[in-house]
Amino acid sequence: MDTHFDLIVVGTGPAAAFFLYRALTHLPASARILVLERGAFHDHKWHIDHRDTWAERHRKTFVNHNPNKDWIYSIAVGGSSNCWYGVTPRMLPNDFKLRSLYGVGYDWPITYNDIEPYYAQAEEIMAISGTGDGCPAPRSTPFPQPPHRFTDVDRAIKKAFPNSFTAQPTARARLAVRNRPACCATGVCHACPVNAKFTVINGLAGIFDDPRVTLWTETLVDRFEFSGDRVSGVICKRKKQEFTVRGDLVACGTNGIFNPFLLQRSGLAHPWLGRGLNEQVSVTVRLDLNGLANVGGSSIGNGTGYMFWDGEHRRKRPAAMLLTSQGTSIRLEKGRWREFVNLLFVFEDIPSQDRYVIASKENPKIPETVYPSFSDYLEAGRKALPGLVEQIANVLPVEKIHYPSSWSNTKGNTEAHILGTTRMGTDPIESVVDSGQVHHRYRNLVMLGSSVFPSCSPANPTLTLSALSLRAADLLFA
Amino acid sequence: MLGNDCSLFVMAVIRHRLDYLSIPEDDLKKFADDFQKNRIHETNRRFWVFLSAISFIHPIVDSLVRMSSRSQQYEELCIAIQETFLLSSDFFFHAADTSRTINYIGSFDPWERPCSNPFARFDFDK
Repeated sequence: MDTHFDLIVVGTGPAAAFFLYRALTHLPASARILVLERGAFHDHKWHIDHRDTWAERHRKTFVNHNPNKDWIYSIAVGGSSNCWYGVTPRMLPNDFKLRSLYGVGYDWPITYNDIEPYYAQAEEIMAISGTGDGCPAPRSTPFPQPPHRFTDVDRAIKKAFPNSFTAQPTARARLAVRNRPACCATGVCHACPVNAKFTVINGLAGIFDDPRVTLWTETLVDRFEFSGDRVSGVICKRKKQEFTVRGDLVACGTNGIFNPFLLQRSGLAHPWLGRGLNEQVSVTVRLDLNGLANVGGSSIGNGTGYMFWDGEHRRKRPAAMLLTSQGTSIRLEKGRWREFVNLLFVFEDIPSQDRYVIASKENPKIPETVYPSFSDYLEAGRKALPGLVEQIANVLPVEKIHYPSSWSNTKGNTEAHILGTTRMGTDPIESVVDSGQVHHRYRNLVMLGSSVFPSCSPANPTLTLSALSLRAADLLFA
Repeated sequence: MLGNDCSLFVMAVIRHRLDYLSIPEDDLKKFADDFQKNRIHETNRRFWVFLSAISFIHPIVDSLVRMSSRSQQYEELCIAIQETFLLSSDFFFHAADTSRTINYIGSFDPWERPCSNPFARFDFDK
């Protein structure tokens, strides 16, 4: 078996897939590419039959002693594009300069302008629905698809916040596109019954059929080998055999837990390797309304608010993104069935050294996440929450506000994102990879995905990590 | 022996909590059969089977259980029963008209019957 390749890609989630997609446009017809995926390939029918996209029970793959903080990912071809909800806001320009502007967190080594063209390209590939009306993220191109319909509650919020409330940017199609139908607001996006949201499988699967690409599924990458300042081999296990494959370039796009763990397991150490584990944290607040029904939207979530995002408050408390939703819950009062709205406030966090990924002491072959508690920065956001809610409540006919007793209504307090553990930066002491996501020391190793994010932002990370992957491939191969 | 059937309990909850709705008995029974098969799981089934057996005095039982240590679990199931019934019926497709007779369409299962969100609209504003 020939075990030498021009490019080895570890993972098949959006980060790896967008990188491979762009790499294939640059590489010659003679290039040999190996893609290594831990999970199996499951098609849409499998997802529907199982009503689930966590193909391999991910909690068996890492150790987490904190029952109040979960981490979620899907181990299968397509990675977490199988289970995501398709929410795709861009980060805002100031999100890249948190330290410079507000004295907290960390700056990115790139600016919004560096990534903007790639945001546009990623949006085109995913056929993102949205509108620039009310969205402060500067754009060079229009959205590929028209926006989803607002609910009647969204319309009322929009009237009060015309410049900071917009239709949710989303990969859930508004119009049928390529092989995906329009979203019909069924509300189980983690395993979409009609395949309306973008996934790697329905949107990019052609990359695995390219004659230059060999895809090995059910192949576990155990560690890397290094020789001097280069990755010289990728040691993996397949069909109960361990062997080494060699690549001129290795692109590691697993996730924010396994990206750093693979490097740690390979013997690397760095003050920020595995450190800075973080993600957004959300709170859902329900408003009971009088005479206004939350109906009429065309997807499960139709509104996004930027009114609490950027500003001087970030010196003391986090930015928050407001999301409205239109599920199928009912208010069980005669004639008032939909007179309520759930507001989701998604707060950014700041990475810190005391939250990290390491090899588990119980089983060094798998990682452990350490996340002792929510940060003081986040808690400041939660304390400010009533003031944020009041601003929305003031523009709606509210009769009662229901606050949760703690963070998030989601079990385990997770948005299913994993950020920050192989962060990018210009200083090799303060960061693991450079502004092109290439390891500072091992120059044939590129880290893909949200593990490279130096800051969190309230924005869901998938659009940003996909854009970064397109950019990383252009920088390496163009 | 109590058996394994909770459908009488499910029917009693709807009759009691949604007493202002007109629902044919056959539709109610069909819904209850589907619901208790799909949604009431083995871990707590014996209690619901017991409530089913005494469903002829459901209003009294309802008051007592709501004051008991099982009240949260009970209330969550009663809410799920009502929500699922209303969404499984044609109620919202006829503008939630409580003067109509309501018919059970089929199990409100997003994978069995996708695109059945009665609150969504898909047309474009002119």
